[in-house]
Amino acid sequence: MSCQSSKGVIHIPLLIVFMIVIAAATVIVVNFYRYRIHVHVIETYQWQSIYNALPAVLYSTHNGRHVSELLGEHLALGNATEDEDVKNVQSVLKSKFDLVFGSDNCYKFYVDDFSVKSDAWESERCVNYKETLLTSVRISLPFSESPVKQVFLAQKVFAE
Amino acid sequence: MKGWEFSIVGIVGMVIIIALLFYLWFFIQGNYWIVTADFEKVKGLRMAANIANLVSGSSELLAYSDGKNFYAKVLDPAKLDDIEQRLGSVYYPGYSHRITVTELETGKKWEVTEGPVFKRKEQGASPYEIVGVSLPVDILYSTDDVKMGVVRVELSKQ
Repeated sequence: MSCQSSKGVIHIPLLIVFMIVIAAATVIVVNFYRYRIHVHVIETYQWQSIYNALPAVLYSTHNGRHVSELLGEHLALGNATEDEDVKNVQSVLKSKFDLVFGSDNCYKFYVDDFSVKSDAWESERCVNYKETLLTSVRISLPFSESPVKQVFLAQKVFAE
Repeated sequence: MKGWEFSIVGIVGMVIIIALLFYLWFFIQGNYWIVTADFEKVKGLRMAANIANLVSGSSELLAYSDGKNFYAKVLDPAKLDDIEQRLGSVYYPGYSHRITVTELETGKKWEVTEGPVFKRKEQGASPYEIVGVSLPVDILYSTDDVKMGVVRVELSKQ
């Protein structure tokens, strides 16, 4: 199964195998390139605009008080307060983040061991994604010996 | 006989090779346009993000100012009520856009549209792809009443 040419012998089956390998490699390379554009460029761009969610949430108010102030008091005092809003700062924060991200998206806000997660964070859809730090800010805490804390907002994205 | 067998294999082989070459040609052509469209999309997203940052970061546009300082990403509701006049000079030549500010807790909206694409879209006849970005902001009614909002910028080539 070969073809005699002026320069030598061409093996047709080998040529077909070679062409199939070239075609498969082209398909894989092009699809990988498209995947990288979609996931790493376009999706990143869409998430970049959400970076500002953290200062926007912390500066917004709840019952006339800034959320950062409620959070600061909660972290400094824990449950040793009669203020219902300070006690419920977790639900206040969650309602604010859900407004921006939607509870079906994969987000987590945390400082030390205090955290607020979306409903979907532990779900099957989010659990396979890779956690990435979205943004962080420093807030001052009243009534505390260490008055400045770093707070974080993370998201989960497709694993590479 | 051997020559006849060779011919059959050779012809079938050449047909397969030509078919593969056609497949590769159309595959690469098709993906070239898709990848080009993706680059256009990224360019559009960057421009939309620029507009969102501009309108929410400039006190001449929508950002709140107390007379001494201005606050980026904190919007003034009085300026929002005047959104069409304030954002009339914000545009990219050759592009249409729609800027929507939504107060998330109440659903109240302010909107301004520039260029023909969105008017066609409202009539259900726009062939252009529209990209958009959202930017979370605050809307400051008073220092005790700061509501969360989102600036949404949608953009399309005309």
